[in-house]
Amino acid sequence: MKKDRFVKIWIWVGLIFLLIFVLFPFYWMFVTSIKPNSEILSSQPTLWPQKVTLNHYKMAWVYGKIGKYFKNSIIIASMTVVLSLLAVVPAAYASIIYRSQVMNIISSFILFLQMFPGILLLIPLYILMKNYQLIDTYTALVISYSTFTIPFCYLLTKSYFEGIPRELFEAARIDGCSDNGIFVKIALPLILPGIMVIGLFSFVLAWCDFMFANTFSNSEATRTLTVGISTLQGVWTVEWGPLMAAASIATIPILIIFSLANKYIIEGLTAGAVKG
Amino acid sequence: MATIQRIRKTIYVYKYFVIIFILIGGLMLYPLIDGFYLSLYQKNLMYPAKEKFLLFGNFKKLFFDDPMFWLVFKNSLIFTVASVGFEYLLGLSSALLLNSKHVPMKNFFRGIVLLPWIVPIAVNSLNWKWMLLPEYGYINIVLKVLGFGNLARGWLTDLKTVFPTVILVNVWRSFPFFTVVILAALTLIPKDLFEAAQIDGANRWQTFRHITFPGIKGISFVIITLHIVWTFSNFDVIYLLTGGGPLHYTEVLPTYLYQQGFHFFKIGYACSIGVFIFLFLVVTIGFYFTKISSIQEAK
Repeated sequence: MKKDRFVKIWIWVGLIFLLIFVLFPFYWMFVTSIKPNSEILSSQPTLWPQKVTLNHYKMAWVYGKIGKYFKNSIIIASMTVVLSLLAVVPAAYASIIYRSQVMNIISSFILFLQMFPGILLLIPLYILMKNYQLIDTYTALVISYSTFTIPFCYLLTKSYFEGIPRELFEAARIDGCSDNGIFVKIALPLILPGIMVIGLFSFVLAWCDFMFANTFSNSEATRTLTVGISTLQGVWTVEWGPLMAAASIATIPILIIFSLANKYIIEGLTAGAVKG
Repeated sequence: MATIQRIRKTIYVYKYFVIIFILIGGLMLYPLIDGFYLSLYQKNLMYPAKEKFLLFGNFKKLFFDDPMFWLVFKNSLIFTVASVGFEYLLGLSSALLLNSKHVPMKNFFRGIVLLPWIVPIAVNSLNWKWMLLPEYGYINIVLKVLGFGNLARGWLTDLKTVFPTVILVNVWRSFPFFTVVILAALTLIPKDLFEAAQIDGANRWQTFRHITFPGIKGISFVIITLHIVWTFSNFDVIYLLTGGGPLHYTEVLPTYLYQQGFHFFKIGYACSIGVFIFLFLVVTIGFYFTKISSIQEAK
């Protein structure tokens, strides 16, 4: 018993250390964003502000144009969700319904693309977007993100469809339901929770990207939040309050999504890695 | 008749794939081929008239006339090996910690740990830049309070510390992925194996060596492979933390590619760097695969 207690103490030490290591940067970001300037640039900074202020948020949202970038990011990420679902869900369904050698090859090829690094395509894609006059449009980002969400989402959707008993499809077919009918009436409703998870994944991926957004949009009109944060650093070199407010604003949607679907996101993540 | 029917059936089946094929074909495969093609040309966006076919001229220049390339390649290798190594160690130890039966609220802790990985890199790198500032950064302030004031420095500007610091931030951001995936594999190991080991009088190390590790070996291989690819081709972390500086001390292949392509507009040359990254990864991963499978066969 004594040994058990000893182990417990060490585990708690480990846990506390891990929590501080993981959380402190976020805590510090938030605390800095609500401190008055005098408490930010100080050689003895306070761990919790003596005077709480929301001025930095106002400054970032209005003068830093974070509000505008926030809107851009929301639009781009939502459109990415729609396009990736449209691309992935029917294909995953077909791969379950019409099993064949070719289908297996297509599936493993799509899986293999998960390893495909975006940096390889940065320049050819930039030239492509330029030729089709898509630089500085939402479209350029939405179609690029959708392409990069495909491998992971396809894999997950396929595993959701695989979870549906085959007999259900057979029964519907005997009752005279067409393949399209089965898709809309039976398969889709059954995997609806899964579809939400895939949607959230695509949203997070689009929300977090920096590289493509930084390359494909040159103007404020289409600038996303992540790029906005990085360009603001050049303008406000010492204004850490508003910068941290901007960073907090970019974090909030991720936190909301994550607290809603934490369990499913982790399940999807591990399933993806185990199968991939 | 039969062919027409077959074509009809093919259309019937593959209409479900239309969007996926267009996206992958148009935005992955076509640009990939175009990248290979461009790497054979001298092409500069500023001087479109000076386009010229070089065959392997860009690669010749890269390997033999560009001293920066070897430096950058070396940085990329160190960055990848150190990052993935420490990520694995930290991920494994935190997964073992969280898997202990004494840990309460496992799902809560698992969720918290994943945070650095799902928050945008732009946010994470800004947070770390702020904490690593020379004068007002919290890390230096803590060091001073603890009596290690002589260690305080501009972590991202000091040539001695910039590279380890960048690796640390990258490890901090990526280890949660290892934690969560290894943890999932750990919970799949049957409990009675551990009980049997205890009855047989196995010590902690023997239990780990013969039960825990075989249970997570397969998944470790997968996530290490994935992370080698992702880290070697990662642009965001270094670009946002240091931009490759100071004095190219943290320049890696992706940031070098970006610089050649979008600062100097040397499109062809930048594409040859991309092709190099691609081929290097294919060869490394292929070698790794055959090595691992030959070890497994030998057993």
